Amino acid sequence: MPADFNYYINRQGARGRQGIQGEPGFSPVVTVNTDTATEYILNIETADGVLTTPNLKSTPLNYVAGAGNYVMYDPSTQQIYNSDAPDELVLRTDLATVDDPGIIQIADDEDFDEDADDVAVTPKQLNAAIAGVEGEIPTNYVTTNTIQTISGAKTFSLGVNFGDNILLLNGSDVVFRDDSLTPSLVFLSSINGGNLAIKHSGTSKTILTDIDVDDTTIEVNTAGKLHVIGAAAPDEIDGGIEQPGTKVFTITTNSADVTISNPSVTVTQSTPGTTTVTYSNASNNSTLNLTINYANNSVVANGTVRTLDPESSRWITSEVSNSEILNDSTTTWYIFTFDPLTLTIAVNP
Amino acid sequence: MTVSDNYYIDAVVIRGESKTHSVSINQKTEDGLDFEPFDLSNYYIRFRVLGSATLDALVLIEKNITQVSDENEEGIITDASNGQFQFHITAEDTNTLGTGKFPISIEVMDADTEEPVFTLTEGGYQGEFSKIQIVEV
Repeated sequence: MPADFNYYINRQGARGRQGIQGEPGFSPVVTVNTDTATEYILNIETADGVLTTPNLKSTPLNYVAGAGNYVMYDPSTQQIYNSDAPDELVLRTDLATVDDPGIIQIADDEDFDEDADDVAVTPKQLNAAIAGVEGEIPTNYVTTNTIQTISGAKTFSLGVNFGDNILLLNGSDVVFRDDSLTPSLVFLSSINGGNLAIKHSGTSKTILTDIDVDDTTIEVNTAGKLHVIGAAAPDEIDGGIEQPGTKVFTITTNSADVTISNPSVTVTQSTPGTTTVTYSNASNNSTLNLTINYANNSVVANGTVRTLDPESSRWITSEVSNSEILNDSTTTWYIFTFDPLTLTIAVNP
Repeated sequence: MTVSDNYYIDAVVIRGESKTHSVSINQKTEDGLDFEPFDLSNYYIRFRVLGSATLDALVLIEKNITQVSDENEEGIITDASNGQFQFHITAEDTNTLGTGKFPISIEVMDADTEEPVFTLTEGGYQGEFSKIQIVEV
């Protein structure tokens, strides 16, 4: 049954009545105050007046307010200032020291001359100082590619390598090696009183050339040979066999191998030529002068030997020649024996 | 917001005479697409005649309308399940009020707590409000 008045809960209600007309609003007016590459500032006219904005563009960190090599950063303004004179800047004007940070100044020629300790050196300056004047040999530094004279004493504790010919210094030994002589190494050791000891580590022959042995003792151990390879002129080996009593012999050989084996001396001659052997025994004043002539597979040894006759105690000089011949399939030995020396001449045709 | 068909009650009563006006209350269905009667079973109606259409208005007449109130004095909830009730203006009420327009307030009250649940006559429109008019013949 319809009622006089029907209510509907939460039904959209009637439109509200028009509100009172509001007062006119205020539209702010924006104008540009500054517009540059680094600044953008606006003026905003409000109901209360004009408002000026700060710079709306961020300041580049590398913004420079001046010119010069000295720089200062002011965090309060986020500005970087620079100047030619450090005293024009407020912050960080002190030069850097070993103990304190500061600004760095690059050295000039005067700083180098005065040995300044408060400036920095650039790589270019350092390289120039090391290299020296172009065309001139640096005097303050040792370089790797210039010919220099070292006037100071140097100690190379780990050895020095001189290219193909390696000279190694190890203690008191000086080693000379020539690759053409491989596998041998020749050690020249203990240069002492003019005596030059020669050792080699290989089993093959060690050939020495252009060695000045004047006034020099070349020591060959008992198992070694001293082989003189001569050319047209005879080579002379003048030395001594250390035996009880001082004995000296001289062997002048032309293309002969001389083997010194205490107390024997072996001369091996495989090429035609002449070898002279002079042996003297200071203990008994015996001497042997022998000339060995090898030619056509034949050895003729002639000479004299002076010995002391024990019975008469008189010195006797005798002729000596080939005294004994031994043969094998390849070698012929001519043995000359006189106390205490045995001279063996081996001929290998 | 609760809205009547006419948005506002404008009940005219001749002075010296009594009159009964009927009211129905509807609410939205569960699906929100229609309206269905509001069940007044657990409520009663508080009917007031105000001295002015303001919050601090003087209450000139107040009647509680229930399912058992006097239909010739206060009025009565005639069909609680269908949300229908009547409010009654007595001849004495008209003499008490005198001629004129008097804002009224109709509130749905919780029967147990006696607290208002909602007001049927809230709001105003173009200066209008729910009222009764006491008129001379």
